[in-house]
Amino acid sequence: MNYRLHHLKELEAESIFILREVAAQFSNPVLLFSGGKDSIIVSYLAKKAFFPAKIPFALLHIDTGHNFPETIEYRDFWVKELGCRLLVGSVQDAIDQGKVTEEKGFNASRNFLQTTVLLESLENGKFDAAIGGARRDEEKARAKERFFSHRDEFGQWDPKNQRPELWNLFNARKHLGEHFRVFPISNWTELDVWEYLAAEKVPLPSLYFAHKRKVFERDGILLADSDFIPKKPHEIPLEMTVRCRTIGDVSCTGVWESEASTIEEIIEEVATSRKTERGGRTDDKRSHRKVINC
Amino acid sequence: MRICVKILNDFELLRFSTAGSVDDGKSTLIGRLLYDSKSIFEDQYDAIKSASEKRGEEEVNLALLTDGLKAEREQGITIDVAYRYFSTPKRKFIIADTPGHIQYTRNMVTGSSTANVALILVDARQGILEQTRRHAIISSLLQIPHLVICINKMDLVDYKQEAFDNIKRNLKISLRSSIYMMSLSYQFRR
Ligand SMILES: Nc1nc2c(ncn2[C@@H]2O[C@H](COP(=O)(O)OP(=O)(O)OP(=O)(O)O)[C@@H](O)[C@H]2O)c(=O)[nH]1
Ligand SMILES: [Mg+2]
Repeated sequence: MNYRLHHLKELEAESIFILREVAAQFSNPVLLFSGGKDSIIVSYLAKKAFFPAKIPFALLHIDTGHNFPETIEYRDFWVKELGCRLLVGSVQDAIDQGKVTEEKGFNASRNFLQTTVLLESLENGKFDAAIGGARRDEEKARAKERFFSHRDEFGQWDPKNQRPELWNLFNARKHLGEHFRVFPISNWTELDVWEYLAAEKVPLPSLYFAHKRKVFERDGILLADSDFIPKKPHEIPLEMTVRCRTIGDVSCTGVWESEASTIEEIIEEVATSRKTERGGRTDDKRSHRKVINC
Repeated sequence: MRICVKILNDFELLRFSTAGSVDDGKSTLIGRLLYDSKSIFEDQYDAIKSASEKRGEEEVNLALLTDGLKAEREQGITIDVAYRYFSTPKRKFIIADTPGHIQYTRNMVTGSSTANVALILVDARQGILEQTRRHAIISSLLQIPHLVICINKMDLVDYKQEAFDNIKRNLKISLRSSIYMMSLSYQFRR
């Protein structure tokens, strides 16, 4: 057999299969959209999976209210591009209604409040599957998660008791009140994502490309100067050329000193930053500035 | 909004899984492979280094790279499949590191079902065990085209050829997959 697919085509085929499987097996799925590259790629793949029909589910954005303005601008553009419906779950509303309490202090973030709002949005919308852009290479617990990941009636994942998932058979059986998270791009690495976005010429938020921004350093991480993050007296913002490696809530999205202004340069940066971050080399301290998106 | 050009490297994608009896060294092997292929980020390495120190281990326990669940670290075994990724200039690899414990056989099956190659580990001191045979047969049933039998922990038998040959002779399972043999020691030394 000499037939073989380009590795990105193989990953694409796997993801499209899973997206179609979601449409076939669930009665009311929704796609979680954060505005970052991973949810962009999942929604892009969803468009391909059902083309020329429309994507048969809505996008759900859990909005912390602490966004980069560019994220919201991109979100609205992209929803129009895809021709699908956008639902928003608002953390601000949940705070105003007293359902969740805002954290206090310098490192306060609304990131953790998102979960409550997400679960409530899923319950209110009676969604039985929430499609997400998580990748197994992101984190050690994620590395263990199934494509179809079961959640109990409290929205909890039990990693010690996952179901078998053989070949391309996916089991969506559940009890009332339970739901699934589905991760179509589980097997993609960060580099795969960038290479695919480049090859497919997918439009991207400007935040990913090098731009001038006022930033300050905290615990070795560069944060964007913003009204949402209270600064300590010694934290003086400086203008630097930076880009985001991940996009999330302003309060916990680190930015990266970078001159990469095209997607090719980003790919090069992602590929070589692996090299410099690799074991044994501690030469360039700057390359170790960890990027967080908690 | 930016638009981009250029198509990128065309790699072949190879999926492989580990198998074999509990504690034969599957996760350690994968950790070592990731370490040697420089696929571990510094912060990841620092994290497993301090985790190893906290556990009172003298060496960095590379199995912690795949054994990421709390319960796994408490029990010192793999419970569910961990997927890891690395590449060489020719190939991209998707690794499924599966558990050896009989109780989690269904997770081994899950991880192996999509593999093109299965590595079946054997502890050189113990030889072929019931679970080794079981995993070999399951891999063959799953129609994984290639099996590699890896005789591991060769350091513990002083790298004796005899130990390797004995195990090779004992390996009488009739399988549908093509079988390769190799010997290893992947214990980590600084
Ligand atoms: N001496 C020696 N010890 C090894 C070698 N490989 C692994 N070990 C040790 O064997 C023990 C078990 O290793 P693991 O990698 O956790 O074994 P495993 O096969 O993944 O176990 P399960 O996933 O629970 O089935 C650990 O204490 C390792 O340090 C080796 O080549 N030589
Ligand atoms: Mg293991």
